[in-house]
Amino acid sequence: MKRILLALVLLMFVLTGVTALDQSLYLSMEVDSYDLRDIKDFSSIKDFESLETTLWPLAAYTYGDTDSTGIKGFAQLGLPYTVGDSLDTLFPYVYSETYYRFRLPETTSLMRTGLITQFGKDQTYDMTYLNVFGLFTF
Amino acid sequence: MYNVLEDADLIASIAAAPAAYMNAGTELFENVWVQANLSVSLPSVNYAATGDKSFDYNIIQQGNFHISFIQDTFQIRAGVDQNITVFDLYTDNGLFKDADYTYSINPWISLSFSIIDNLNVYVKPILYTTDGNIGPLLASVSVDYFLF
Repeated sequence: MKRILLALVLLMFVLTGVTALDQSLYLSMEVDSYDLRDIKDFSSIKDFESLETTLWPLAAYTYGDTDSTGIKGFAQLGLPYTVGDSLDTLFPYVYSETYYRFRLPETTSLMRTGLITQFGKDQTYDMTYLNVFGLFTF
Repeated sequence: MYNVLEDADLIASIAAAPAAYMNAGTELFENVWVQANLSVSLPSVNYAATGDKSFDYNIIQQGNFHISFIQDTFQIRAGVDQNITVFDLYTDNGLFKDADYTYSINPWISLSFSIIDNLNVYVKPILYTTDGNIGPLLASVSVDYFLF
């Protein structure tokens, strides 16, 4: 069951990549730090050593025209690290959105159906997760 | 679903909700825009498919408002994200007997600017609050390079 679910997610990535138009690919490096606020003195900022800092190298891919009907989407792959005495690798994170926008005959409003998936690891509970959201809007 | 790759049993839940969305925005002055987004799911039904196989009935309202100053190579935005969740709408004790709510209001500022073609820098501090209590202040700095 688990393997089938993962295979479906991978298949969705491949299919959307092959069929996509208007593509863009960007690489990103994001640094998240918290908690910057000192609980005893809101105005003070903590020392860097006491912050929890995560480094996120990311690759993101968008496809489709935002203003027209058809397929449109976004996919992101990240490999986060925690920054401390050394760089510790966390679990990879995968996120994707795929939408199909269409217009019924003799109507002007766009309808949209889509699928959003998230795959990663919850560091608090030490469990991998897969969330799938299906949506239809009109 | 949780425990997707672990040997432990899969933990699964299913949620469904009809939702209403409203998005509005306009240009106030030259280069200055405001935008508001609002969504309400009424109700959200969450079914835990493992354990006690229980149902939860919630109302989830989310929104954000921000004002932007936008130029070709520089953007600054200031806004607030908010969420209200009313949970336990229906329990074994009846409708609204155990209902309670939680809310969050998270103000933020973001700066983004383009240094050279295809290279953008993005800075965003955000302050999290829950039920009126101030939570962590998180800062994100991101550098994006567009290959194509």
